Amino acid sequence: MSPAPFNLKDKKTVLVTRCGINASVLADALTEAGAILTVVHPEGVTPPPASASVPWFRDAAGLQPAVASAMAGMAGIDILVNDLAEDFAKPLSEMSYEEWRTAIDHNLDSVFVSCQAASGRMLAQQSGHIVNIASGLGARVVVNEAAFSAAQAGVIHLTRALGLEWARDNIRVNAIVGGWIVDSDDTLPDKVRRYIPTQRWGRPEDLAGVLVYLASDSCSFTTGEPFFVDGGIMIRT
Amino acid sequence: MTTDPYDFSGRVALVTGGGSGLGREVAIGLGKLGASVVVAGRRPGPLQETVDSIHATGHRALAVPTDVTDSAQVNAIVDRTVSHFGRIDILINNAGISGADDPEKAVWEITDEVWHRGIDGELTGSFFCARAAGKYMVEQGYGKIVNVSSGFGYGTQRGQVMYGVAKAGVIQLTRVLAMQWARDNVNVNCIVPGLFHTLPEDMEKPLEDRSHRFIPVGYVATARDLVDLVLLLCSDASSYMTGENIMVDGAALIGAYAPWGYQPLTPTPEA
Repeated sequence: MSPAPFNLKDKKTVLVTRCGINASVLADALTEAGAILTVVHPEGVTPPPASASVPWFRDAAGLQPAVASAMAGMAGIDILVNDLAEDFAKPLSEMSYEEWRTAIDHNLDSVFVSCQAASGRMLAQQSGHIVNIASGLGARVVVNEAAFSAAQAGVIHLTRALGLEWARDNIRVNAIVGGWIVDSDDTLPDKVRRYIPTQRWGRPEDLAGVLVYLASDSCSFTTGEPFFVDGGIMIRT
Repeated sequence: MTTDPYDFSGRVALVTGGGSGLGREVAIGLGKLGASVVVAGRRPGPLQETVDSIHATGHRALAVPTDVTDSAQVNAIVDRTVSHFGRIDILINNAGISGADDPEKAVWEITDEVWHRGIDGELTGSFFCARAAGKYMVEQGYGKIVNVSSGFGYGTQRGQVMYGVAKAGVIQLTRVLAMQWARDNVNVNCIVPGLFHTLPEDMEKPLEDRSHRFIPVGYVATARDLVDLVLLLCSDASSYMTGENIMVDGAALIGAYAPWGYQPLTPTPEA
């Protein structure tokens, strides 16, 4: 066991989030574990409570200065969490190229920009933890989710690629791959819940403990690994 | 391409579980394309029917009743294949003894004997056959082994224990043997079927059984849907493929994320 397991005391942490259902739970988990938290959030959206917050305009390119500003505000970064999934469902035959590009930009390009923005400092200090929050639709598929699924598969594989690329730089890059995570029982049809082997919806709280582990020094030999938190959906046929 | 990769003239194949279902269709398919085929299985009657069908196409075949979980019998049939036809080029590891799993039983009620029966029937038999045939294949510098796994070797369902474990074992056995013999010109690949009818008469069944509706392509495969893939993997058209496990499941596994019919839209339509 590491000296202070599951502890993020005084770790300079940037949470980049679209402020969806996971945001406040993830922010609270990081803060409760001791992290000094700066949240990067979409302009015009109220961020979850944190030591500081930085707004950004939603596209990927806008994230570079926002993450840079967040790091400057804390004079450093130890942990980067990307909670950037933005669902988009439409039949492919009806999808415009613009819509496709937007889905890829928001779901995949944004993770690239964010990771790259943090990499300069992490490489210089030869340490860091990056956690990408992805969707199980990056590993399996449902109808109408082609763009979202392709982008999420990209996030999962980007995680592996960066885990390898920065393996000897002591930067650990892992992903939490959520299954059907909802914040209320009636968000999705109940037949989807019954399809999950554990037969219960995932909650944002289900991601919190795994996040703290992956962000902490307890996670020092694991990198490039997607952690599926999905109630067993990936094992069913 | 200068030669026909599907001309199996002069090639010798051993097909286990060749008395019925997929094994029978593959044995007949190989025979039609010129291979000499040894057909193994437990029941002499169906084996002979397969052999008669191959003879009817003017090709050579031999029925040898065999229990693939008995390594002495396996070694004997491989030796007999080589002594009878002169070599062994192709092994189809199709035999399987399902039925060891009892969905009504708790895991702790599975006896040692039942566990071993489940694992041996689906996995150990394939290893015994590959071990015996592989020795000849490596010596002659040519071989094609095709294993038959199952979608349940990747995904699982309640009540299924040994079958899934054994089929997952077949998937890794494929990779392990492919690596072992990669430089010996012995290719080892595997098909991973989803649900399929093994009997020709089932093909005519209307799709009334709702349990099959989850298959994205909307129908249950038949053995004939799988035969051409097996023939590809037996042929020189796939000479650079080895250690691969190929899904043939109508997209069932990749789509097993939500029930069929669930089609989200953005923005979510008002209920």
